[in-house]
Amino acid sequence: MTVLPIVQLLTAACGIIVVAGGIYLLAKGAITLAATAPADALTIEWRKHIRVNTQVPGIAFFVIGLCFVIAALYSASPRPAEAIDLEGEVAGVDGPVTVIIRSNPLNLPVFGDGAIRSHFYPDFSVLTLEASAPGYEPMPVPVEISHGTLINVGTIQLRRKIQEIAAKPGSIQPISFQPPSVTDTTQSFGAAR
Amino acid sequence: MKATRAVIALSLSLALAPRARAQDPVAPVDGVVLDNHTGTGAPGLTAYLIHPVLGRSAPTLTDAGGHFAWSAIPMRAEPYYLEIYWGANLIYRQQLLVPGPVRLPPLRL
Repeated sequence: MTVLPIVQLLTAACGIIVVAGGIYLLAKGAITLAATAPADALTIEWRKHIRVNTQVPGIAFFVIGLCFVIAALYSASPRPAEAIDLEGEVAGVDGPVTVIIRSNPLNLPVFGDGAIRSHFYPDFSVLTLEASAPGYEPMPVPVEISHGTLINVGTIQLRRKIQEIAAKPGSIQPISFQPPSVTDTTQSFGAAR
Repeated sequence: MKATRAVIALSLSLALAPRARAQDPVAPVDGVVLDNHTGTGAPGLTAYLIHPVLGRSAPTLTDAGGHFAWSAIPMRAEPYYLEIYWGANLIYRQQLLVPGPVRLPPLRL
């Protein structure tokens, strides 16, 4: 467990304790929810924009406790991932270029009984951008996304390794069915490594 | 009553159909593409497996040594076809059976 969930739990616990303490003090008669004299009213003012005045100061316990609980719930609520803008250039390539982004592989412990048991935190702070083109050596570039949402990977220079390979007679076996187009990913299967 | 049964049967078949496909055992498939002129690995080529029922696999690119691999190909009785593309040009297609883990012999293209 990281620090953030612990802080969220403590915050929620504080809120519950404040509310429970308020109920306890009410029961003991230390505070009351009866209206007090206007001179004893509780006033909270923030930059002259917000001004709250109550003649029931005891209710502040419950409001503060509720604020703690709401803050913990808001902090713990899942948020959509932040979009990342990536810029860069692949230079010196004569042909189609493919650019893929991979996350670092996560090695899990070896299991003796075949069961999978793992507790891990996904880390996408460092990704690997890999530019490749037919006949060129792929060029992996590490991408750190923890310092902002706009990332410039600069110019990626690929090095040619072999000349173009053309289809040879007999190397393409005919098939009796119509496979999906290479751009059709609706029926994709298998996991590439 | 018959209509209700038909609806229940249809719902069950729809709910179970994806699971039936997911229950196919899977196996890794890997290979290497070599340049026939230099004998070195051919990088940057795109490899697919196509299947008459399953369609087209996720693409995989050959690495600097010409290696390509899939980690989870369903083991099926019908043959697959391995396709290798140079960019958008198909340069190789041959039949391939996947009864279990497959390590192809080097393909010299």
